[in-house]
Amino acid sequence: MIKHIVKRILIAIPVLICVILVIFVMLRILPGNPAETMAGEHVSQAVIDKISREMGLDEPLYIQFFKYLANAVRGDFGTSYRLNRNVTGIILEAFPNTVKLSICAAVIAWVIGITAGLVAAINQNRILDRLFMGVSLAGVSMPVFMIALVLQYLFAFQFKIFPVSGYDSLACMVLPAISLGWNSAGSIARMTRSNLVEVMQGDYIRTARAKGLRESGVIIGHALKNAMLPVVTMMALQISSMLSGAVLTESVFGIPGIGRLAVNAIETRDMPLLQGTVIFTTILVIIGNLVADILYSVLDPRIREVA
Amino acid sequence: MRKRFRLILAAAAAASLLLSGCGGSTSGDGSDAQTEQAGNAEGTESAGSTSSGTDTSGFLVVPLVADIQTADVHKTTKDYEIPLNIYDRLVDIEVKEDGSSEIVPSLAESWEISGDALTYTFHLRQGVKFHNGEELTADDVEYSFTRQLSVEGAVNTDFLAQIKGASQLLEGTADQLEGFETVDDYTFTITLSEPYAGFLACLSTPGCSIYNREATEAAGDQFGLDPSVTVGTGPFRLTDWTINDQLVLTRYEDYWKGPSELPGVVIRIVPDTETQRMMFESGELDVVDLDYLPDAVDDFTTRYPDQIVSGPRVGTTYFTMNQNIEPFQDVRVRKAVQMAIDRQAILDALYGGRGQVENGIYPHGLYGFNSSLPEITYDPEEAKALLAEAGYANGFEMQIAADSSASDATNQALEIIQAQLGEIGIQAEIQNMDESTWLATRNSGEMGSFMSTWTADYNDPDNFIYTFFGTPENTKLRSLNYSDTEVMERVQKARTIVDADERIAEYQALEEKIVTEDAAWVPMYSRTHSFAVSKRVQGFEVPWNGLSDCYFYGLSLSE
Repeated sequence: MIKHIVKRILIAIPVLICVILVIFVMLRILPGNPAETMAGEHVSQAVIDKISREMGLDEPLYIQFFKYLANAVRGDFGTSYRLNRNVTGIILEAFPNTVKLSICAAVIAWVIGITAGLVAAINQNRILDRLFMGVSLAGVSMPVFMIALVLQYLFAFQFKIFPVSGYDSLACMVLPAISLGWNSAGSIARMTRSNLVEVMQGDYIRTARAKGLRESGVIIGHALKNAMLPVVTMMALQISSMLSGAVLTESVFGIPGIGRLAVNAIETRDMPLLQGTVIFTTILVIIGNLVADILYSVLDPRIREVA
Repeated sequence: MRKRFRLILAAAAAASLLLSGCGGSTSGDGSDAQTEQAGNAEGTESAGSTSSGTDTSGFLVVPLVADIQTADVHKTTKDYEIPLNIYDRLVDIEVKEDGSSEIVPSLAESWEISGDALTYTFHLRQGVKFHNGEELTADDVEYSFTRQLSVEGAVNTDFLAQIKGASQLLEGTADQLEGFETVDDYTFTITLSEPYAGFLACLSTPGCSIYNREATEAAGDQFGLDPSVTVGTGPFRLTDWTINDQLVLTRYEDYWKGPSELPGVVIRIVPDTETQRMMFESGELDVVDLDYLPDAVDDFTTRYPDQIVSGPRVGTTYFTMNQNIEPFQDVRVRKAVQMAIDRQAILDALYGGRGQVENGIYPHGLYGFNSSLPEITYDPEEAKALLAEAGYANGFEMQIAADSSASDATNQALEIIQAQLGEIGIQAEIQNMDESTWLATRNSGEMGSFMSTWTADYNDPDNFIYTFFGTPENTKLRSLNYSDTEVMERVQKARTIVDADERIAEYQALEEKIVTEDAAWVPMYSRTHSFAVSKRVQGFEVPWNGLSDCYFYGLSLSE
């Protein structure tokens, strides 16, 4: 088990270095000088040249890269062009807001998703099943930003139940969390349903029924437990889709998280900040996959034995 | 089996704990109160308390579309809202009833200019206190100007470049500003390297704000980033800054003009303009800049007619022709382009006619604006004839570069221009570029043509004409490549004319030569700048220079 985890972590290191290299080179082969963008229209060329030198942009690319890598290993991702501060500090300040949003969204996704999947499976092929699966299909197919804008317009602007934007109270979090969790809820519901339907036909379910257990006991105690295996790992894998969804949700609802930082960084060609957010997100996705991996082997002894 | 279940249970428990933590950070009256109030832009309820605990009830609430880079105005040319309000300048610009403006005292109570226009003697106002309690002296001014020219990341250096010794500071060969001399605590002189009539106007820009030596030195690179060490003399103190969320300004009780009526201002960062609109309508914002909400202007004007405040945006929108590119070196071709563009039609179509067609370089509202310039008329027939005369009876092909980060209206205007040029046989191709590429191409002097707007940094024609036609480098930097070096020398020389009337006459003559005679660019229009303001706000005025950044002293809220 430990060996398995260590192996996964070691594989992650070259992945990370490749990501850094790709994002670093990509940002620099784009035309344009970040010093120019940063200084704006109203300054002379002499000032722009001076800033370029101060930012180290006049050095050869490979020197810039190795300097960056050496600092990054020590946890220093440079100074943001746009926000004039240490990138690591900015990211760590914004991260809790993204975590808060993602966890609220995840809980909503799990509660709604699993309940809907369960109800649909029990009422297989009946009206409730059709209804829930129809709604979940809409959930899976609607883009996050669209859900966000529709929810915001209806429940904040028209009915004034929730604030239009903000993040520092539970009321503020409801709409963003639903926007972000909706997609996942849809896929969790569909997966729970199909697994449950399959499991319910198993021999041990017949045995459990034959023992005289109540139907609810059969479903929750025996069927759901087995049906949830793939669902749980999927939840861990959804960390990455949550993060990409957070970019949109945070922009619409004005939540100062990692997603907003990335959007800002792209708009202002803030290379250190964009590199920082991409690397940070990559690490999170790697961790998410690792957790999914580990969870799976913990939950399913067959995998563990093979590993 | 049991183990597995415990694991899932534990995960669920942890998750629900974190969920309940979501609501933990507010102290109650904040956003919940906002959800209950009636909206319709009647007025904004108290903003509640911020995450850091500043009590912001009764504060004005305004939006910004993007967070600021820094409140250290020596290091930014874009983010002036905080510097305008937490620092003061030596002099200010005051707009009069008739729209003209003049330079008035601020931290400098009075000044004298020597006969050769080289030496300025300033007398500081006495008893002005910085937010840290220190009194303002001439030493602080010397420190501020030296730092403005020499601090790492300095961008607002052009405004002081005329001071003797400024270039040595810029190049790092000196660490003191030669042209600055302290006479006593409240008197100092500034000597210029050559006469420059726009100097006082330069000193009124936010970039030339006055800092406190002691506080700024102690703050180091945290100055402008950490609110607690960012000190000025202005009517507000910066008391809280949560990145990408909000900035809080709190009234400075010892302000030398008397404390502001507003207890403070909450500046919310709201990048999505549709969200801004909804927030304004549901009473979560007091002021929105309608430039960011072009689709809502008509609707707002009908629904809240008493709540729209407008003023001239002191900025000229212009369309360029690169004289290094065939066939724009021919003045007849340039004149044909001037005549082929129906500027009033564009202004009407895109901005509902809110603005004025310009015929020169200096826009309405700027010192030196000339209302009697010859009008450029829309005349496609005459334009065709001019093209034929120049040997382009069948037209030609040209490129227009569009900056994808510019407003939708700007890019729509380019499409209209493209169609109008098509009428006289010119096939214009619009090339879309991202902002950085666009800037790099333009600065290299190789952009075919583009449309942009120059808004005044300071109230002087020099700010416009020198930027575009002052030196061969400047005209290349805007991809104009204007070739008349004689005119450029005159533009440089005009800076040194001491007599105000004589100087303006020269500036107006140069303007006519460049635009009317040489047709070196197409002046388009200057626009009206409108804000929607909630009913509870009193005393709101449109910023004079066309910035979106507002000065909050003088505003008040009715409850």
